[in-house]
Amino acid sequence: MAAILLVEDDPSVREAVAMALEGDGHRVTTAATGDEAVERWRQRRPDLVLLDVMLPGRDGFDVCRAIRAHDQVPIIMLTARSDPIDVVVGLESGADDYVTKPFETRVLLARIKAVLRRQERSPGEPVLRFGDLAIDPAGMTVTQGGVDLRLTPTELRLLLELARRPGQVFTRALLLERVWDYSYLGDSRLVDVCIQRLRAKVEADPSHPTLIQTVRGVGYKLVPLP
Amino acid sequence: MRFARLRPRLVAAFALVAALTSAAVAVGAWFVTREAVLRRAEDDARREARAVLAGAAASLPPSPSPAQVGDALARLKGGFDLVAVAGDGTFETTSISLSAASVPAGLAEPVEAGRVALVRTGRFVVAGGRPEGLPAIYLFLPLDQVLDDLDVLRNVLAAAGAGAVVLSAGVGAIAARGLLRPLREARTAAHRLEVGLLGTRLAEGGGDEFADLGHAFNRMAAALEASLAAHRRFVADVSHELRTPLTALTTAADVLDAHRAGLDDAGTRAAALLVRESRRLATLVEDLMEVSRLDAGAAPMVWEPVDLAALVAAAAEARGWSVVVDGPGGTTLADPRRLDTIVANLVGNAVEHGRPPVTVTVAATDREVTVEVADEGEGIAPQHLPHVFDRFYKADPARPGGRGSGLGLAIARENARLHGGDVTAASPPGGGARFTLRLPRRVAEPLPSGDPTVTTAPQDVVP
Repeated sequence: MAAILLVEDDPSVREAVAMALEGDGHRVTTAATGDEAVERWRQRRPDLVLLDVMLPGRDGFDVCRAIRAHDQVPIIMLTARSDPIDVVVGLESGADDYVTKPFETRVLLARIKAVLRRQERSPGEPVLRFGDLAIDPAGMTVTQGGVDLRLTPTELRLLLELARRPGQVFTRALLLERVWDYSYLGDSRLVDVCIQRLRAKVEADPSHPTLIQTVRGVGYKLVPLP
Repeated sequence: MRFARLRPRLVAAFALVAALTSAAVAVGAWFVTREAVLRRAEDDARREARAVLAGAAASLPPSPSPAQVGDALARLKGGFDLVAVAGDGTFETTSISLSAASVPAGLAEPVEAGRVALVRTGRFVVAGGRPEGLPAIYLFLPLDQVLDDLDVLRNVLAAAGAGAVVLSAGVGAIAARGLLRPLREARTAAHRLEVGLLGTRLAEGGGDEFADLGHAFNRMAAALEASLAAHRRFVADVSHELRTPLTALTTAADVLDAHRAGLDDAGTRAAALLVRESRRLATLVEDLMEVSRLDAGAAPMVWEPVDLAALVAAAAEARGWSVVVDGPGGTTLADPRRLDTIVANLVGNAVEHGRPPVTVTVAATDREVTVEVADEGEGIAPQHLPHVFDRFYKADPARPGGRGSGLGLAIARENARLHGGDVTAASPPGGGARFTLRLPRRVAEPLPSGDPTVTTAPQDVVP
């Protein structure tokens, strides 16, 4: 299955979650502090990071930003706080999804599966071009003027979803279902924050988006440049 | 109305004080004036009497004939009448209504003794004297005019007194209103505190006793608010601290459950119990956290267009519950997560305490949307009906708690109120329990800007 870096300061939670992950067939490396987490990520380059927010010293947000600066590895935040600000900060730090403690094991495993699935390539699908923006579903890369934009799998999957049907308006619920695999009551902030991150990478002026536009009160659409 | 009695009492007190004061003043003034007026009449009578006696002595010969006396009396008569009484009891008079018998009894003796005497009767001041060798002459000064004037004065004083009473009552009413206004405000503020608006404070302006009261009230309210905040923070902190060990517990229980094939019968049962109870504990902690957030007012709304029938069906399906979704359906702007919480708690309650089928009827008018959750169970006894939304309320204390946290219905109601709606419970005879969610219907308002983090907000956001 996947190589997972589990960052969690509480030894009991760490051990229990590690067991649950291994039981599902994953290989697990653990870290108890923020610094240890960055160190392990450097050594192991895991397929996915499960990151607790509240860590001694360097907190989860900080670790998330540190990893994100170099790597597009999927990151799922584990938060004991369902404080809305926490969730948004976590997502803005570059997390792909979050799970609130105490979580059900099957929910955590489903989230992991959904995040990993976003990395799957779509061989044979042609490259989509919008101006100098090129989206390659087969290679899972997005380039602008030939430069790799280094999108995370979630950002790429979101862009691809919009780009496959340019001009069509996607509601947040639809995007949550198609990108995040939330069939019911996904958190619409996942979409909103990911759109922000996506715009920061693909738009010339992210505060005045021209490619990925907000449809008031409904959702988002991709508008091909004339 | 507490002040309905205090206000008339104040008004009555003002009126009573005015009545007593004006009565005392009026009675005093009347008596003093009366005495002064009568004394002057007596002085007049005495002076006139001396003049008449001197006149009579000068004009009449000794032992005059009755005719001479009559003439003299007629001549000496002024604003008074005269009666002359001879030693043998015969008399002459200037008025047919007066005679020797009209002379007051006590007057004859000093007059016969040679003194000029004076007495006051009901309608006259009578003065008399007897010049040497002449009959006794009595002067009757009428008091009619004086008494009439005194009557007028009395009436004027009475009218002034009555006026003062009415005026005082009016002033009392106005004063009472002014005085009672701070009390009314205090009552309103106390009521606001009672219903949980702990930020309520009284104005402390002015240096009077009500400012003191306001200050004391505000200190009490602040203490109450701080104490409740500390209490709620404690609950939030406890719930939060429980989450980490609970995560380890539920996850370990899930691992154990996944390995139940390797366990014997007792182990399998214990594992199942562990999974179920740790999950229940997690729900309880989750609900406590939710209640803490609701109590703290830290419950932001995320408004999205919602198809209620679809949401109900999805909420039930996500939890593996079988419900019949009925009715014409409806859409509104709402917070879908909160709506899911409401529906899950209402349907969950029906599934757990009622009997299937659980029917959810969704309907809408222009102004509101309703979701009615009905089951076919025993219903709710009337004495429990008002309390079903209380936290941890158990209809039957002897019955062990169900799988729910005991907070579900309270949370459902709080969430409905965040939408500006409410949840009500009913139990019609012969049927199961009916829980009805009513929400004001809202229509989508376009986003003000292209900022994607701004969620769609309706025009009338609940404060």
